[in-house]
Amino acid sequence: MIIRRGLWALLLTAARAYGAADPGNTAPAGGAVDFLRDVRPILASHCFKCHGPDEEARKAKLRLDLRENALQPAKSGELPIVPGKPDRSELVRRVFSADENEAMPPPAANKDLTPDQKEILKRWVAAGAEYKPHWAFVKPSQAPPPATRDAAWPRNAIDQFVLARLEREGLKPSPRADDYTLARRLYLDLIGLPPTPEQADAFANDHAPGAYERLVDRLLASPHYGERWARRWLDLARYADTNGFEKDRPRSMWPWRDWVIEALNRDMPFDEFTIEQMAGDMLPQATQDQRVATGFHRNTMRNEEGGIDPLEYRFYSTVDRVNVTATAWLGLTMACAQCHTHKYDPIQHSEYYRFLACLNNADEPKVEVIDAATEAKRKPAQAEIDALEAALPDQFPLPLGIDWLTPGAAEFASAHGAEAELLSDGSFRVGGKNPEKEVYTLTFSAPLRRITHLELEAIPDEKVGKGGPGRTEHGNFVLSELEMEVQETGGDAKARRVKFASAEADFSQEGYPVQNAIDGKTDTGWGIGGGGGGRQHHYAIFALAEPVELKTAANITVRLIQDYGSQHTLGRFRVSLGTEPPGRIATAERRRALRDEKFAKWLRDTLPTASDWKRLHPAEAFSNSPTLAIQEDDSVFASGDFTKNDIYTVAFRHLPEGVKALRLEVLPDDRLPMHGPGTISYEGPEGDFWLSNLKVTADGKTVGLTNASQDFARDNNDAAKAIDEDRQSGWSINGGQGKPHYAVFQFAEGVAKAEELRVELTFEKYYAAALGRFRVWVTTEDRASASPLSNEALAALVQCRHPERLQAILAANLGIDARPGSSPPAPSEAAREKPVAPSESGGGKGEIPGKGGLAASGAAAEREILLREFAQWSPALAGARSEIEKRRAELPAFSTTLVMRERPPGQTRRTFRQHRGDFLQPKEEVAPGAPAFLPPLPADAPPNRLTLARWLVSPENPLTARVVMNRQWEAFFGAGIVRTLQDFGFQGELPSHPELLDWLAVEFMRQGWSLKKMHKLIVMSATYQQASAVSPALRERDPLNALLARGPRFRLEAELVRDTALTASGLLSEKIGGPSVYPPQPPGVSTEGAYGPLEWKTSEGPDRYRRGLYTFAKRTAPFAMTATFDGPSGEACLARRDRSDTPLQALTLLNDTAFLECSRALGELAVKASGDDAQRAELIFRRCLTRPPTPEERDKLVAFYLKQRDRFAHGELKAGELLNTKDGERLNEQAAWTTVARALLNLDETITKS
Amino acid sequence: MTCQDSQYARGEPRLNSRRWFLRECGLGLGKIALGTLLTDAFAATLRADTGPRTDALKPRAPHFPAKAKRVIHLFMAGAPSQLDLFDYKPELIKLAGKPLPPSVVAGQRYAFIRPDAAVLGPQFKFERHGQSGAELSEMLPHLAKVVDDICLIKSVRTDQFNHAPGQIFLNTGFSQPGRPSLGSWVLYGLGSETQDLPAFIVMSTGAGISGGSANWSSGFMPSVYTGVRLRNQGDPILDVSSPPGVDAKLQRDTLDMIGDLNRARLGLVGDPEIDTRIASYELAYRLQTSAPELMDLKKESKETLELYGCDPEKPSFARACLLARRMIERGVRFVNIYHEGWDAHSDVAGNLKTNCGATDQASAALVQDLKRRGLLEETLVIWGGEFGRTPMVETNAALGRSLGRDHHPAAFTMWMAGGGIKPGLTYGATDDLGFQVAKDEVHVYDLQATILRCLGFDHERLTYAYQGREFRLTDVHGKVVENLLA
Repeated sequence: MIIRRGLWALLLTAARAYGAADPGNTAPAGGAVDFLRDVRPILASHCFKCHGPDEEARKAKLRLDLRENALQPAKSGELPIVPGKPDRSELVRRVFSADENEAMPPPAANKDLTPDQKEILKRWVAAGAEYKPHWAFVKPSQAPPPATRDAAWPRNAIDQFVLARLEREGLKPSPRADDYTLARRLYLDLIGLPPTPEQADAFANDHAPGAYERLVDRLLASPHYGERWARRWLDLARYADTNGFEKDRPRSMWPWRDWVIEALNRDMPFDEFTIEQMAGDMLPQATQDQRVATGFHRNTMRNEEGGIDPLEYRFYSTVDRVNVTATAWLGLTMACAQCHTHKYDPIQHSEYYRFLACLNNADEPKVEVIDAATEAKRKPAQAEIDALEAALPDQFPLPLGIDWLTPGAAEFASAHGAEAELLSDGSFRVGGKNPEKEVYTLTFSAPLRRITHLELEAIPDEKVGKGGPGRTEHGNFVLSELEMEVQETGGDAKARRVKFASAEADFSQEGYPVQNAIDGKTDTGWGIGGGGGGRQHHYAIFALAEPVELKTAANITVRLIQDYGSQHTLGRFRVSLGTEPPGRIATAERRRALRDEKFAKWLRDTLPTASDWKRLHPAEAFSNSPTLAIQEDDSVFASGDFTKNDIYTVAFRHLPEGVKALRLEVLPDDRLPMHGPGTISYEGPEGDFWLSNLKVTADGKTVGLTNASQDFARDNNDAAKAIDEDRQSGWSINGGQGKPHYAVFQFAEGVAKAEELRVELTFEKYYAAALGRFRVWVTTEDRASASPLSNEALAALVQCRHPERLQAILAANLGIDARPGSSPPAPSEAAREKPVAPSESGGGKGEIPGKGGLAASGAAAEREILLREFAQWSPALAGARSEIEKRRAELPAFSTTLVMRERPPGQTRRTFRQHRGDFLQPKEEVAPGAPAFLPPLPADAPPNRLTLARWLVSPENPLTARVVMNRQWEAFFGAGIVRTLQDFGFQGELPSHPELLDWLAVEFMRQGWSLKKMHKLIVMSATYQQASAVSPALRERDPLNALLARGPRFRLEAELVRDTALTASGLLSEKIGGPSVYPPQPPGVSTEGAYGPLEWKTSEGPDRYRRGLYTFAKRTAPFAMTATFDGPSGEACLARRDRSDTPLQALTLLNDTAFLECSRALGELAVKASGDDAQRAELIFRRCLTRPPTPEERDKLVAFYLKQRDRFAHGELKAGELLNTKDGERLNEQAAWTTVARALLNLDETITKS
Repeated sequence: MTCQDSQYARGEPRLNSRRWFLRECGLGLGKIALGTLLTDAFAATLRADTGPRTDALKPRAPHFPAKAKRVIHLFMAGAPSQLDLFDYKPELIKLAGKPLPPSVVAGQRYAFIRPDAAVLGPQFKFERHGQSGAELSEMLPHLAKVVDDICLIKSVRTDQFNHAPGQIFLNTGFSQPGRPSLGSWVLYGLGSETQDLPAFIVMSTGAGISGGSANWSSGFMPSVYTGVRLRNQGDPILDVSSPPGVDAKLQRDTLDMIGDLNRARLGLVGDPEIDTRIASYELAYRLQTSAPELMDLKKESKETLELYGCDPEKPSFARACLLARRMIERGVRFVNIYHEGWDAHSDVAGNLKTNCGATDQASAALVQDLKRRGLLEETLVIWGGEFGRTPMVETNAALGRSLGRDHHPAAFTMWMAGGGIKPGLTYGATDDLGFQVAKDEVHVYDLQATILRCLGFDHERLTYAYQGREFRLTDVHGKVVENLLA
């Protein structure tokens, strides 16, 4: 037989098993038949599959879930039900029929009815076949709490409902639990941490009236309240710190988790709590917090496996959102209707997708969470960077104007065996042995009487290695440290070390600035590798702190320490000394003079590479799937649903004649991952893109593309790959995210004249890899190529084609500080006298240079732009720039989190009914809406996510308040009033105390959806405060404590087991919130067999001892302890955790490092405490169990302690091993107490709420 | 009557002795369910078994008499190439280098390649072996020796073309995590025969497993049915060793102390959960002995070690196979060995050399060893991946790939042995291109139904009620492939 659901059925079963009497629920054998309790479950599980709401599955046009249908003739013409006339009712005839062809349900369905069930149906028809609406689908109302015979026991309404029932059953409540039990119960329930003995004593010793309530209020106000209750919400929300599936990469989601903690601590009303999480982004003037709240539905998993269909997994996420919403708020098993109309509950297949449509219109970005603390740190740092950047053009390295002399006859000595040859130019070429490290020592007579500088030149040389200047294969070297000594000849003057004040080089490798050569450390140094450096002549100039003034001849010793290793030594070099005569012009001006000289050269060199580009305005832009929006600046912005093969088509009209090349400018945007320019958000490098193919047509004719160039590409993925034959190759810019980039494609033949130019961009990859924002430019000039310069710099450069303009730009500002931010510089005399002719080209900034001052000031502005650009590219400034880059990288970063973002109007995603729930089988389009058996969405609001959110918590909604209250009840009592927390539908169990549940639901709304008020109400009840001890008789009568004749007693949740041990041992860190942490767990849990291994870098310090809800949650390889104690993996919504008891749990508590550390800490507390052994035993006993031990318990602990202490003392056991330390006094005692603590932490009572 | 019920029916809650508990209760060691499970799990256990029970792992009889009592599932994660190991297609040699006709490839989704990718011919020579004359590639010389003991199924088909969902689908009948795995269903249906070891053990020997722990999760079933990982580093079962400084005597003393205090508490509050806790501590203590005993391969003969090609000290697929046999001997119900690494997007030939080198000998040795010990009849061995590989080549210069094969859900090969499966049979066939099933399709649901049938279950009646409906491993699909049954 099938075990019928519902409380009475369970009790009946239990009663049968135990041979005890039926506890008092009406048994169907005698009394009246109740439709909801007796009939509906039979119809639901035996009949509705074929004769229920699902039209497609319906047989014989017979529908039994609605009375009016059941009373109509079926296809056969027979009347299924004739009220009051079972013998004329076909239903009754068929269920009693012995004929295999007639019997219902058909024998093949394996759904046979028992004789009892058949009888129930018959009696029900006989009594008039009354139907009643399902209790949970009717709006709850608050019945007055019933009167009870014992008027003294009830403390509030809850107790009246509970006691009335107990009195009906002939049962009595249990006595009130003792103070220690109550204190522990309250602490564990309200804040999830056990009380310290002192806290418990404070309560036990408070005999003033209201002591209990005061404790309740204090705990409700504790910041740990939010942590305790957040964890339960996290189970429903399927929170985790990784994406799930194969790669299972980490994600930053904790800001949402912290939002939940904070909201609960503030007692945010549950309706607001709901609305902000479901649709905070859609609220008017949504705050950042409200957006962060929408992370609730971003806790869905994300499959990053190569080759998946991203839209398929987005569909799964949306389906998950529907199912989780239904479970968490409505207690409905809506998931059943994904594939077909619900077999039992009145949810049509199409209604499932109408509900889904409400949730189906959001984009799913990752956003930065701007917090005040980080911002306060960023601001000054950013200001410094800005200042450095502005000052960059003036940082030009330059100690010229120095008289240099190279000693012609220096002696070379090597520390490790290299040999050197002195060349005629005074440089050395090093050869012979090539040691890993070297120190070269040069000794020579001082060539000057006044020495202010030392210069080291590194010179390329074909005879050195592969060409020098260093002796490595690639020509690099590292000068770890430079030292110089001076010893005057004659007399007994000692050699004295010379100090250097500063160093400048024409180029320094990133991470190897020249200053490293005089920082006194030999593990840093100056290098010349990397972009802009390499096999070129380089110099470094070191300024002495004090000029060396020599009265007599002197010997100079210069040591070049090259400690880096791997033969990073100089191959050809020259050392010169310099004198800077006193009274030369100021350094700043000289710097500027040299810079301007270099700037002029750069301008002239760069000029031919600049083409005159014309920006095109897109006439239209469309794609296969993503939405392309044309922006005011002529760029195209892509959003929406990206696929593995996106094709963008953009059309341009009004073209110049004779277009010869096209420039694709890809642009950063704050809406894009990593600020773009690409949209890659999974599997590939975030913010990158992959342009597989670029096709251009002019009036329908394909334009041949050639000579592709780009300013930036990673590896070989350059722009040429976008026009080759290979569809799998492409242009990408990984490493260059957050900045604009450019690719230029020349036309094989110029397009003389065309009405329309169409550009087709294909992004094909095994993950979605389209561009996010881009612009198109064309030129009519030959030989165009990509330049890294900004658009305005390019335009300014084009202006320089006019000699006058170039002259003006070169001359502008001369001698005047051109730092941005300073007042506009006055144009120079020369510029004023020589106005520049207007530009003929169409490019530029649209500025029309006028006469006189205007032109000159235009030139000044252009000069500033170009100068800034020059500072960004000049190799001489690489060192200064690398310092800026370093600071930029060190800027404290904002945390990120995942949110929902409703799509803008006009970009609504369409929703279809998916046949069999299959992503690949969309059928008719559906409009957003709620299932018809529930109140409709309000007619005066747009049917969207926000409206759905409000509907969930509308007072008209019969389910939400009941479902939420039932879940709260379960948290305190271990089981819900409806035991199927996740199913309030027809197949769910009936409530054990229906009137109580309804009363609570209405009260919850009446109390402004305040969870704290309801929690207080529950814990203030006498029902809650009962002792949990149970007599054999009561246990037999009510094994599951459904009638609540005793207090709750059950094992703690995984996190609370750990938190309890940490609290008991005093190790717990009370820090709230922040990124998840990595407490110790056995080796390999997060890596072995995990496809996406996660190196578990065990946290040190306080983070090792944070509360369990902060432990990093990896979905495919969950934290071992949590999993062992039935914690969720975060892969699916969990309404109720299992509570198992297993040997693996015993092994964890006995042997795991984390718990051993707690035992050790308790052992240390014991040994350091004052008092005798009995007092010490009591101390750690109470830290674990709260209550004082019985004398027997205390004696047992002391005996155990003494026994183990002796074993340690006799060397049978090693205290050092157990404690993992050799330091400290009384180690044997401490170790013995540790063994006592270990036993205590393993007690059933320690990990149980009772 | 169950142990706890009867105990309290006698009204002597304090009279609970450890020995009594272990003797009377069919407790499995994987996990012990709590009495509270009565609410969900027990209201929904097997139809044939309606009484209330407190032990979810108590041995139970299935629907029908069955040959298979245990399962060893060798999961070749990553998906081996059936075209180079089992399913010889000379037609592909002819077509090599050319694309397949659009009529063949249309409608199929691929992970990496384009549908017009060129054909790649078989990478190895094939020969017929044994009395059955089954065709195998030269990469499987050891399997060739036991080919008459196994049943090759060349017509398996799945719905999934990505690894994680494919693996989770094969194990749970659903492509997303959250449902019970095959091992969980088997435990739920049959209970446990061992009191000394977990009843469902999972080993991993290759690279990582794409689907992760969802592959052996009990999903919405009680967590007692979850597979327990046997690890290659640290303790084979987490925390099975006592901590440093704790010797056997201290561990025993500690357990006695815990038991003492727990019993005292039980006397006061009368909660039967405390009894369960006392028992699980005793079982944990036994596990501390039985786990090292299981892992100790010193008693295995040199001949056996060589048969498997197993270095007893080093974790490997061979060692896992030998351990699996030892587990089966000790009453473990379901063993999963994941060997991941077959995902040959490039150099399929080299990939197969490596992976066959690591698995072929031990897979065959397991069949041979089980057979000679008389264990094969009652043990079902399953070998295969989550899908197959394309007849078309995967080449991608940008990714540095060449001569590989992409994911192919439409047709692939698995083999089974023992446990009521017909030996020496080659079942099903694909078309000349190895692209589609041409004969006797065995969908993953059918495979699952057949596996359950071997264990004595009607897959339509092995159900678990959750969220208002009766769930099955095979959802609403699957038919038993009767022709595979001996």
